[in-house]
Amino acid sequence: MSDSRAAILARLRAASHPAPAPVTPYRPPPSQDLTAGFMARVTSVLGTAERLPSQAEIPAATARYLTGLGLPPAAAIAAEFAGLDWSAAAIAALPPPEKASVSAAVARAPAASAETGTLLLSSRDPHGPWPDLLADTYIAILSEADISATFEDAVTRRAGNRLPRSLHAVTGPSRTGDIEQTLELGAHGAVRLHVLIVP
Amino acid sequence: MTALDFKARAHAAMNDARLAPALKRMKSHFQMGRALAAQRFPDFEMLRDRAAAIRRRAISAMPDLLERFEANATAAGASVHWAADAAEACAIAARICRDNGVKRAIKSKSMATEEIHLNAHLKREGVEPVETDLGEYIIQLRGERPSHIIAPAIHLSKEDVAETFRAAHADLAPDRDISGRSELVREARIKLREAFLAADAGITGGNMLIAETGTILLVSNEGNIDLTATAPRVHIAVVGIDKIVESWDDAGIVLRVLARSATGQDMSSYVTCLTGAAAQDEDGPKQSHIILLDNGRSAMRASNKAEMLACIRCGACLNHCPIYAATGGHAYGGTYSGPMGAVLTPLFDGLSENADLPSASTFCGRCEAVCPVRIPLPMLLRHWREDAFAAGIPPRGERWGLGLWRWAGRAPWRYRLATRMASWGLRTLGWLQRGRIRRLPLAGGNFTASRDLTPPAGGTFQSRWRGER
Repeated sequence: MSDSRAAILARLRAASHPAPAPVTPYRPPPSQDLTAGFMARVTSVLGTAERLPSQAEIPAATARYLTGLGLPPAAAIAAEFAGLDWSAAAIAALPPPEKASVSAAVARAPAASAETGTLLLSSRDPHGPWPDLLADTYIAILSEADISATFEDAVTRRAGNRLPRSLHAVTGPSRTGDIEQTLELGAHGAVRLHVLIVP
Repeated sequence: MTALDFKARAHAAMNDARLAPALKRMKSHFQMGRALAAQRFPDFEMLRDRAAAIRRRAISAMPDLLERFEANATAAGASVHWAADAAEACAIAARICRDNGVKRAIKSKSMATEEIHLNAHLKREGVEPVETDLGEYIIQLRGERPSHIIAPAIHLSKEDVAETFRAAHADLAPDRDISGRSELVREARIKLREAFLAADAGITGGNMLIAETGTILLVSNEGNIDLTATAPRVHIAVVGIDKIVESWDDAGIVLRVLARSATGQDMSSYVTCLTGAAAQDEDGPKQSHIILLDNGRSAMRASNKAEMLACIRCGACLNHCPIYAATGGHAYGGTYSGPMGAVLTPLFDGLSENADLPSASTFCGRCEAVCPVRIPLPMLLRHWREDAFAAGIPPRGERWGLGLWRWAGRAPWRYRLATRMASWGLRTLGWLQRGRIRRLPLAGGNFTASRDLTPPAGGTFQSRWRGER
């Protein structure tokens, strides 16, 4: 093994190539309103988003979304939101999402980027990436202050001193064009993605 | 494979009535998608320039960046392995599976693992690999190779897929309707979800290796990579050493040209960034292995095809290539197809076995025009043609013809005489065959076997040029 390492590096060092000058990092044109930008982008990738006046509105908004689509009024609720009044909204609150399939999950997306309408989940989140990966419907709770301008900014904010083992940048519902180059949603991850933006 | 194989396979592909409609869809889907995405971006050409420079900087600093990647990935808890060739990479992966009692492995689409034929090797070692990218899963069930680097099952219809699932999914009720695309996607989702949650190991490739933090970055649209890399207890990534980039800022720029060039998206639906192994209190595999694959890449870097290492595997050159659009990917006979495949396959599988591939191009230049990192693909194919000629690979007739052409071209009077004679000859043939040339002599017979040639209308280009002035 170490023989191959030495041999590969020696072969690489034996040939030299001129290096072009360093490249300036890309910055998108500054946006006035990151929340509006995020909402427009997430809609363009077939997700949906709405703004709520407060966290207390989450159960009612969840009920509106699920029943509006004729989906069962039940969801795995992240521990953080379990204390909200779910029974008043007639939603059956299931235990928090874990590594198992579930019809719907309500959990926080701790970071997002406005440039492409991207949510950033990680292995360090209380429920990991499972709310998006294993639920048919992911209802993401996003605090307005957690929206960054770019993917790179969102990663930097999530990384802290040490990067999580996995970061999952999610832009819209899961999709595939593998059958006859025709778009179908819900290949493996969430079939539906709805973002509730709270102050 | 013999030198005749590309021609034979291309011929068969062009007579395949089911392939043509599939390839025709590429135009509206991939070509328009890319054009619109490029247009939406404020200055896409600037972004391509930066991406091209980033990739060439990475090629230049490759040994240092790989060492930096290794140090940072190791510090974050990953095990980094170096594989000189396909056999060594397969052996390392098999050993990791053996050491960890892995019986079932799930895989996300990885051209590097296709290149080294990892699945066949793992099966021999008693590990059952299941592909999870929908297209790749379909062709795995059919025992085929991908016909497109980002759309492996582009050559199949939904009826083909339904037939494949019926044959492979024993528990699929005979009366269940899987005639539509959504039903097929749903069926694969259910089947593969079981596989994800039962697997011992997940095997992925990698779109980028970020030296700065020792991170592997991957893109997908289905979310299967996220599941493959996080659900099982062991993760193995097989990544070509060419995928190295220096920093997250660099990776961000490459990411922006990648999705737009590949599928016309501003951002791939899922971007997965893996750094080291999971901590005790963290979701994900506690064991993470990265196999850095050379398999001819360091030799390529020392050759006149070094620029090919800048490739980010977006597939734009396939999507815009008139040859690919006529023949599909299987005709190329290797892991990679289209213009990038015609450059790479002789390198991986030998030039004499693939001597036709560098000629599988009209040099129209569309591949270079859309390449997000500005790889001069026609020039690299020309280098292969030169190499083939120098190695004495083309048949004697072709070598003799090229030698004659060279001799004529080296003296202006000889060239003028030759073109004048050819023009006169073609006009005479046209007159003899009443306006259309239906049969040409010698090698020209290959051309007229399937179509007529219009006789030249006037004099040679040179004589007309002089006349116009």
